[in-house]
Amino acid sequence: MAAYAWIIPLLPLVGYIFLLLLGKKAPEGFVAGVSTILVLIGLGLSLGVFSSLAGTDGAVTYTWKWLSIGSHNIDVGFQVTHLNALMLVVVSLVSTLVFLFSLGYMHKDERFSVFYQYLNLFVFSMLALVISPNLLQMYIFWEMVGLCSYLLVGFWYFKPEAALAAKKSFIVTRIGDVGLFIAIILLFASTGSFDFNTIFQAAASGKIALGFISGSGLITLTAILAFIGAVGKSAQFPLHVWLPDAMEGPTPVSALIHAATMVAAGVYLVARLYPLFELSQPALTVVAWIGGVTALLASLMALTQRDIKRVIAYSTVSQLGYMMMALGVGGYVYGVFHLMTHAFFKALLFLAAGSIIHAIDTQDLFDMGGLRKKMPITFWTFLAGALALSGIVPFAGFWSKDDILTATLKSGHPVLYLFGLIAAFCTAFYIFRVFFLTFAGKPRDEKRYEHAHEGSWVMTLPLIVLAVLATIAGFFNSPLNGNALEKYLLRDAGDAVVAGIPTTSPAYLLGHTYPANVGLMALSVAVGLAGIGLAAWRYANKNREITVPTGEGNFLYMLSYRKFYLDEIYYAIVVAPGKVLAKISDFVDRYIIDGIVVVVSRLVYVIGLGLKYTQTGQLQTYGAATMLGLFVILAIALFRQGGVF
Amino acid sequence: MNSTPDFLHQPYWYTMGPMMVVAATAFVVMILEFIFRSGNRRWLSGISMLGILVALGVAIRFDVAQVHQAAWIKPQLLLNTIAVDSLGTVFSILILIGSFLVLLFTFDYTGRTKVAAEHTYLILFAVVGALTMATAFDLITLYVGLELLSVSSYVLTALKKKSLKSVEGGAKYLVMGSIGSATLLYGFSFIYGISGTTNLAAIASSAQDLWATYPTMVIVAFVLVVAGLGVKLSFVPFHMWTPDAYEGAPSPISAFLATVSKVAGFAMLFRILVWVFGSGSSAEFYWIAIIAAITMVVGNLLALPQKNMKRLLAFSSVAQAGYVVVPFALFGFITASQDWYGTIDSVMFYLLAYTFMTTGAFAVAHLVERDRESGESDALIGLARRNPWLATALTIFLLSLAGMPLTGGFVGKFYIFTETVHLREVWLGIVLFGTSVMSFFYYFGWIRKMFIRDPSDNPVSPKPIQVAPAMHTLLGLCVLGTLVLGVVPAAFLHSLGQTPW
Repeated sequence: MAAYAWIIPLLPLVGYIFLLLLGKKAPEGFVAGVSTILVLIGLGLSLGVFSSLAGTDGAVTYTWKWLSIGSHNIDVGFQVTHLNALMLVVVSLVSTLVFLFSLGYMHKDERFSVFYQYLNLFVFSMLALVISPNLLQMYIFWEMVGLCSYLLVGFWYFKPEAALAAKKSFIVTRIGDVGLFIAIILLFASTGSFDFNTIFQAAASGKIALGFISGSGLITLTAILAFIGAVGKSAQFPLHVWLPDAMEGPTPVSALIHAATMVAAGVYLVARLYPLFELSQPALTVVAWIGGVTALLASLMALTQRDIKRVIAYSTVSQLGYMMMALGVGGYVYGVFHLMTHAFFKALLFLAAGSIIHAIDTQDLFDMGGLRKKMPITFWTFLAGALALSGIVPFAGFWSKDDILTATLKSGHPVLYLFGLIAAFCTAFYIFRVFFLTFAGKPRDEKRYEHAHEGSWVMTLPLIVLAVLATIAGFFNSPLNGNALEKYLLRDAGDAVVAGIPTTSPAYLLGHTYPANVGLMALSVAVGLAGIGLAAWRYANKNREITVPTGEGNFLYMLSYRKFYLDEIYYAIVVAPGKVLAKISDFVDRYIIDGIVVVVSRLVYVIGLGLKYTQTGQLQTYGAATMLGLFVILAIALFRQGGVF
Repeated sequence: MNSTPDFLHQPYWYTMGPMMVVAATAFVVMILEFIFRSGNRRWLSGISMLGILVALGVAIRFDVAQVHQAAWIKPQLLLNTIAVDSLGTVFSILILIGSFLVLLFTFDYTGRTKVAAEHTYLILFAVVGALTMATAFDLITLYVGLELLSVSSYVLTALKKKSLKSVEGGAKYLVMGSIGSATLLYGFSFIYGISGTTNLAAIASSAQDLWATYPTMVIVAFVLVVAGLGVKLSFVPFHMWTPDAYEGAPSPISAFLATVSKVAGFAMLFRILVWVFGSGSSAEFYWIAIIAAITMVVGNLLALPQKNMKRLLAFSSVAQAGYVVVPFALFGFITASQDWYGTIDSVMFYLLAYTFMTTGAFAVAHLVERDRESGESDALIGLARRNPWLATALTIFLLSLAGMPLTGGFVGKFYIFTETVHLREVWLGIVLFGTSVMSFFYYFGWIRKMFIRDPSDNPVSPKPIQVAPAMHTLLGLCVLGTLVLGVVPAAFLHSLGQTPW
């Protein structure tokens, strides 16, 4: 079955080309129907691939020679590991639901067909990224998902905020991509291959070195550089600033790209390169701390945001921080597990938010309220998502988040554990703040409230499916289920057997696992409940008037609301000096470089013009020139040879 | 043992197979041409194409057998004049692909323009000459093949009897080509004089001694041979006939001269350089490096100010010949045997990509010229609106000629460049790179023209260009070839590089 994995990314590509040929005027139902069915077939195939790998060790790889330079071969192909198979299922599942949802959400948009084209292109790139067998191919698709994200964030390009946000998201992630690119080049230079397995083997057996950099130094360096790429893509501190702004894109895009799939690509990258990271304790420490700090900071920022999508966006940043932290402390399985559960409940929260925005046409929490009666399906599904995010037993987020916290503490990182716990409290508080402000109490804007209504089945069905998953997905890896996913994922470590490296080699251990701890579970649930309770006391209390907070004089509130002033700080230390530098280089470019270029090109042109006159059209000239050329060469050759006879 | 020799199961059916098929087709077409004197005789081109396809099938079958090293195929000599090796086979395949494209082009051309019908079988005879150049293993046979190709080409160039330019181009080509042939033959006479044989294998086995005994003679022979073939391959300073011949000749014939004729010339150059001069010192190969550099620089410089489309393509083909000859200059620096594969691979790959992109470019230029009745490059203005498909196709060909990634031209140049780096002759690679940058200037000039609006056009519905199905097929094949070579180069590098020879 895994041999057919290449069909999965091909289907949305077919959809993309088909829609492209169909043109912009194609009927909405047809466009969405074709796209959804193609991705749905892909989902079926993904599930087949996923289940076919159960009980087998190692990876299934198919490559073809693409180019050979000297003695180096560059291959293309695809590879299905257990991690990849899980990602295939997650990506195609969320894509299918989002494709369906968009039919309702984007209804009557002028560029409906174009929207689906971009979505198809994105899903193709994302799936192809997942099954890339080498870093070069992965990097190509890595950039392609970035491009699709840019196109989709700026989909409503006539809104200046959207155009700006698209630019910002593209540039900020590019900063990270530079790191990844350097890492890829270094790895190729030192191992002579882009291939994952070859690199891992070279690293594990110490056959990796480049000039004056030692083997272990090189591993740390490349791991950290690759992690910088992940920091950009997964919106980790300090490059997290683009993700909240990217919420200017249509909400289905936020659900698919900026919650479930593309932003998780950074986490996926670290997981994919995990054998490399495991060889470098410093790199892992960096990953863990960046993740922990991001989880905490972002959850603090989410506390006070007024825009419903921004709250969820910061929540995404925070949750991605959790995943990174898990990977950093050695909890490979838990990071990937959380990636999966998060994809479901965060896509759910975004789609539910999209349903609300679609109904009342505002994103300001303080214009909502009392929607429970008008939108019961959205209400219940949002509740499932919020409980999963808060980590309340037995919802999906509980199992994965609790695993992460346990692993963090047990691996000897008490400070990070504390960060995670505080973040968990904040998470429960901010998501129920949104919940209560939206659904509870009295409507604060009667006019909008009157118009509110539930969407058609194409919008509610994805919500219900995701709500079910957000409720039960955690059981895939609960101790009640014998930690099935954990065992499945650790089969990748079996690669070592195939490659002939003893499995005790730390490169192929893929982290550590920790047994569930009931005490820690109870503590994190208690923290989550405390957060919910505080939110309920503050926002669902009939005795307390809900007013739009001004935040004046409240330093802590402003700190959170203004996102720790990071945007302003970046502007002052990066953008402003950058502008000055740009002015200078503009001057140099315009008057000095350009001048030289113009002079050179004129000169070349004049020489060409001069040579043109050698082309007289006279046969005599041609013959003479030919013979002259021959004699000159002959004379010099004979002279160099030293005499004629 | 059977006393009667078994003529049927002999390898020469395979190596000479393509040649025989094409020759037979040529005779059939010639006789048919005598019988059917009137009416539309396009179908003669159709028969010719069929013959070429059959020949291609035979050649590919032979190549596949060699790759799989079938027991009955071993590189060997036949009648001491034709070599059964995959070098010849792969070059034959290149020539046949180019010929098929050119015939497809003629098929459309003859349907619309009155030209002497003799040209169909003349093309076929020229192809036989080209195939001989690729497979012959004897100086005399090589020369006969070259003359068969050349004489047919002279006539083909002057085919438009009423066009002054065509006749002028043909005459110039005839005189300059004769100078080249004479020079080449003079060089051969030196080789024969010192070695006493015309057989390449015999020369190769005694080459080491000859180098030691008669260094001066060998140098003279080397320069004469390179200059003689240089006229046919239009290296600078032997290139001056090129623009006149290309401009004057009917467009399919220009494409033929630029592709098939050059592939055959490079095949012959390769044979002679490796077998006759391969074992000598590396000093004389410096001449090829210098000629390559001069050809790249001057060819691109001359292309810059050209206003006529076909003249620009002619100078561009001069520059392209400069790129292709770069790996030949590296022969003197090869020590490891697998480096031979690398260099010859890069030559073949570039020639294949070059065949597709150049034929395609000539085809579009021809269609535009016919539509606007002007061969100036200004006729391209507004093409993107008049016929988006033609504009897209030409853009792809030009990008490939300039060497943009994802096209065959890029991979070919990149491959040649890595060879220069690999064999430590980086300066040639830098010249290649630098002159390619120069070429962007004129290729992008065309692209720019295609995409600006023509003020004289009807802004709502500009008059579309009529394109016949045959031309659509031709352009489709060329676009496909250019892109496939650019996206999955290994598909062809593999089949070319793994053949033992």
